[in-house]
Amino acid sequence: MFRTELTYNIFSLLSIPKIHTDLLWDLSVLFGSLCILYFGFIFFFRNRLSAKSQNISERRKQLTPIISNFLFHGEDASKEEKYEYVELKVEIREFIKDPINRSILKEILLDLQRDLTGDARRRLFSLYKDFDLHLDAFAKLYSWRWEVVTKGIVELTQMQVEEAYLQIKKFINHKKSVIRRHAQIATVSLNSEGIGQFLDTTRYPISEWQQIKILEILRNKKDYIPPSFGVWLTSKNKDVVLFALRLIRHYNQTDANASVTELLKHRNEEVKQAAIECIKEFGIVEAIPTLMAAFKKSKRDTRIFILDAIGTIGKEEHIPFLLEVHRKISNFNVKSKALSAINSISPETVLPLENLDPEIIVTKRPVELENEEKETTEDSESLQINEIPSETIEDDVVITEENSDFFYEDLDVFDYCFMEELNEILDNQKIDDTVEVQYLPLDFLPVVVEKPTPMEKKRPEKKSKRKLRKLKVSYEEVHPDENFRKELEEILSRVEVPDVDGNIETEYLNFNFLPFVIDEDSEKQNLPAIIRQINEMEVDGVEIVIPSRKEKQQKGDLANHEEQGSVQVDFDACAMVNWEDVSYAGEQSEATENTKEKVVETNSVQEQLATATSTYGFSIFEELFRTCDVDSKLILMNEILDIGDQKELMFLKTLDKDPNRKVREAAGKTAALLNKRLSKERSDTKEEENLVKWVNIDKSKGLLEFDLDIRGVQSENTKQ
Amino acid sequence: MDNGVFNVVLEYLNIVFLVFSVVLFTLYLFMAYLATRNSIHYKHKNSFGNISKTLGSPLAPGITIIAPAYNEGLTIVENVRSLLSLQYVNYEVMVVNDGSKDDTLEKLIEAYDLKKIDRDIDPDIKSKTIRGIYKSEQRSFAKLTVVDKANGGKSDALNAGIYLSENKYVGCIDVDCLIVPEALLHVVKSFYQHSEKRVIAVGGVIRVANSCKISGGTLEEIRLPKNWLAKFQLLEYTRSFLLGRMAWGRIDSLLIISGAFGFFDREIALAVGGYDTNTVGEDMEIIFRMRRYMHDIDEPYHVAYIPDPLCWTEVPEDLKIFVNQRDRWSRGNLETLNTHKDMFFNPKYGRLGMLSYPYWFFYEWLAPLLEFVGLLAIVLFIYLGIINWEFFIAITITIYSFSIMFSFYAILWEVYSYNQYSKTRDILTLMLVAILEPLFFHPLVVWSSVRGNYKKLFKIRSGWGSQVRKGFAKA
Repeated sequence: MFRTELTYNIFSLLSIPKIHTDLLWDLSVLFGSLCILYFGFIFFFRNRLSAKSQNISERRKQLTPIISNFLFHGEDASKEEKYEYVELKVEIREFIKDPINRSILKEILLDLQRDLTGDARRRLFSLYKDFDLHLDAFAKLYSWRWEVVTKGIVELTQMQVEEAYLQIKKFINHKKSVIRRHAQIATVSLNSEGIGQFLDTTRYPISEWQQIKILEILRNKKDYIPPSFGVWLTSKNKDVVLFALRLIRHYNQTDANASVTELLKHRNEEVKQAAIECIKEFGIVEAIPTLMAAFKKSKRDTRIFILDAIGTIGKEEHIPFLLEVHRKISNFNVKSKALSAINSISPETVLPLENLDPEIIVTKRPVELENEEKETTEDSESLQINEIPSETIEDDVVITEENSDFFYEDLDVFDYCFMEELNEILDNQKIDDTVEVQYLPLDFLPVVVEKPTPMEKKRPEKKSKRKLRKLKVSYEEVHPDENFRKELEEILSRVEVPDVDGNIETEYLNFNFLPFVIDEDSEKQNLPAIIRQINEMEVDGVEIVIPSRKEKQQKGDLANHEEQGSVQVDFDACAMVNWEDVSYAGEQSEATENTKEKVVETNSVQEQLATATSTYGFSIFEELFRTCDVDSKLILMNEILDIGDQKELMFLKTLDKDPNRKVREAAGKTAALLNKRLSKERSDTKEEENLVKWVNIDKSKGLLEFDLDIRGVQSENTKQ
Repeated sequence: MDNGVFNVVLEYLNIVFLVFSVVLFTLYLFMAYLATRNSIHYKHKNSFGNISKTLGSPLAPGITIIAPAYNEGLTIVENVRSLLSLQYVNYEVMVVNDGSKDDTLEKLIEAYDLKKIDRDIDPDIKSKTIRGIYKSEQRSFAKLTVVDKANGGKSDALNAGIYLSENKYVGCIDVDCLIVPEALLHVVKSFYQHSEKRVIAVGGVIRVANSCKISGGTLEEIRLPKNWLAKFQLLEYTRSFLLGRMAWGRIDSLLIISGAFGFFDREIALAVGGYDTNTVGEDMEIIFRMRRYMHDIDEPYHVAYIPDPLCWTEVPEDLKIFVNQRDRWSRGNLETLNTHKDMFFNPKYGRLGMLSYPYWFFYEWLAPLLEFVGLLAIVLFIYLGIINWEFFIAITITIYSFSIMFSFYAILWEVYSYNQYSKTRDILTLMLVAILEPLFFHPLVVWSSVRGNYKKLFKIRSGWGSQVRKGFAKA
């Protein structure tokens, strides 16, 4: 029974709730016990975590070198290496029977795929499949736990298991957002048509984060040809429209300008803003009336977007609208944007008015006034020059540090023309030495007009670039002397570029890229005799070095020997050869005929020896088969098919008596296929033998020359 | 004294304390449950994918990090350098020099080659006079903007930054905080991953950096603070961020985002007029207003919380500074609750009015005051000789053991989810801190809170106080 008590001794008139002291003690014990339990848990988790990480790091250490062996194992590896490869595979198969090892291997492969590219990455993916790890991931797709399903999808995506596409795309509209998001990413990642599938079928909103991730996947796809995203601008899903707009902008797709303009009427501000960005980027001038119409019903940020776009692509006829905005709108940011848009269209239209000190009055000194009068006539001339249509000014070529990268081609054309003309002038200069040259006749310089691409035509120029549009080339009077060219280059390389503040800065162009042009005939005579000889030499043939073919031929020889079944190993022949002499002799160009014979002899002995071991030796697979299970045996059969030869064929025949039916059947099939492959290889080798003729083994060259068209070669030789 | 009246008062006082304690226990257990679920969910959800892949996306939104600086000349250059090295493609660091009396601005100008720029400034900006805006001439510091303004306090400086920023999101941080390089990626992810609701603010965990090893603006080694006051605060932060805020985040009822690391949707922050400069609890107040605003315009929204340790800060090691800080917090609490008192049990604001506000009112503001009253009552009972010692000891031990249990649970989750203090000695020390905290640290918190409330109620003038930074331990 509980005793009920209070914090103070009771002598009250009213009944009050009773607190059982025993209950408090019980609660204390409960909380105390929980404290002890948590204490235990804390150390349990901590130890488990550290033990796990230690265990994983140890196993990783074991596995990592093996994996790297796999990854850097070449297709053209020797047979021994291939055997080792297979042996390793079997070892790993045994190793990953332990689920922890399996998951560690998976982790390693998943980690590695982030850092690898090219062949190694492809090998990594095939390794993942070879070990059937993808089947585990497939199994995860059927789990009832969302995190397991997601893990499966992520694994299959990262390891690029394209077969999973059909299964994963079913999850695009899954009710669980995590699964849905990863399925969408997988769909886009595993199939080039995936983005279309995703945009067509998705019913849920697409978060901005998801859009970033999907765009990132598309950006990283090699040789990716994006579909025309304009078709999704009519989607009922607002996010699909928004994403399509962003993709259109990213991929510069200008085939949906009308739809983009229409989206300015969209109720969603984000869609509107994305459409405005496209209009601004593509310079869709036809959209300006719609932009102005949409202004009224837009929120503040969208209004700023609109004004910015008008400022970029608008013309002087749009200034009244901007002035009206400035007059009517009270928001400071919108007003400021309107003014800056006006100044973008027509610079210096609006001058600073705020916070100007009215007491500052510019008074002109008499000298200045005189100068001003003198300059009046000059000004009137310059005014005429300045009256160039704005379009023409925009088309001027700009050479600035910032944007010079964009028209290298134009510069190349310019350089070429310039050098041609310059050489002509220099030639004339020599002839007309008597003529006094006052000015360098620069009228030959081509008027280089920036030729914008269709895309660039639509795209407006950046404001900052406009300021640096005028390129002034200063030149001086030049006298024809020996250093004429140097001086000329120096002068021409000096360029005056006005900076942002209007100050003139002098920059020097680098002319080092210009070609060193010489008179061919005169220079040829000065060349050393040896170089002249080289120049006069004609190429009579092409050297082709194909060692693998040679190997194949040798293989073919071996196969022939085996086929004949008449291989005799002359062990005495091996003993008689002085190997050191042979190898030395083989390398020296002065080798005697006798030594050559020895080399040939030696090679044939080696071949015979190899053939003998392969015929009478045992297959490496025998050893592997002894220790592995049925599954591994079946996998090994595939390997035998790829790399096996005659001895594996013999070995497969011995498997006729294997107790397991599957193995027996597989062995039979593999033997048949292997036999077929070997026969094909033999017939190929015979064909090659007929085709390949060794010609003129030139000792000095040490390289092999041959021609594949035997008849052609023969006839040519005969002619010679 | 009339015994009858006295007894009735005592009896009802007893009922109040009983109900209060039972609800508190229940709420704490509920919070522990919610936090556990949220932690597990978060851990699973974030175990997939590589966040850094999105680092250079052309769709990445712009973020302005606003760092108010007042007399930070000693550490400003290094702190800004750390902020400039974050891993994100589209961000700006805006240091707002809030009329520093030292050489904060001069040091920045010298170190980052700053030049005053011409820029139109909205005359209606709700902040003290902006004296100038500086940008660096060096490309490597192009992300840096320094705003020099007249002194107006932290909120005022943050408002200036919010108004001057042109990015979609603004981050309000303490300039002396250490932000981990990938922090902005997490923030953007939190802002961008909700498609049906607008994320108006994102907050994160604040970790204690005292005694940690810092090198070149990055955290090299996590260590337990050597100072005991800092150790107590570390445990308090762990409990508060890993359990408290995680739980409120789970039911989308988070009412506070720490001023040291808070990110906002600039449009909404501007719509509510930025920070309130008349309160010292501005970080809590702005969230209240933003939430109310979203309720008023009836737009679905969310306040996100990131449990990953992204921001590390130095906590006060000096007792006086600590008490001042907590005093300020309680004043801020009271001011905010008072400003928004119409939300109290107001169904119009949903969970916010029916759950978050009442919890904040009873268990964040009132609890320390009740504890103080309880302590006074005990003293009175002892004085009057009416104390029931057996009952007093039983209830004290119950509450004490509950407190330790809750702290142990927080340590357990810390080990399970982040395991940042992996040395056995560190964990044992944290446990010892959990055992000692109710005896030594908690009374200090209660006292600071009472002091703050007293100052506020009796309108005793008090501002922010100051904190002398020791600076992070260098590697």
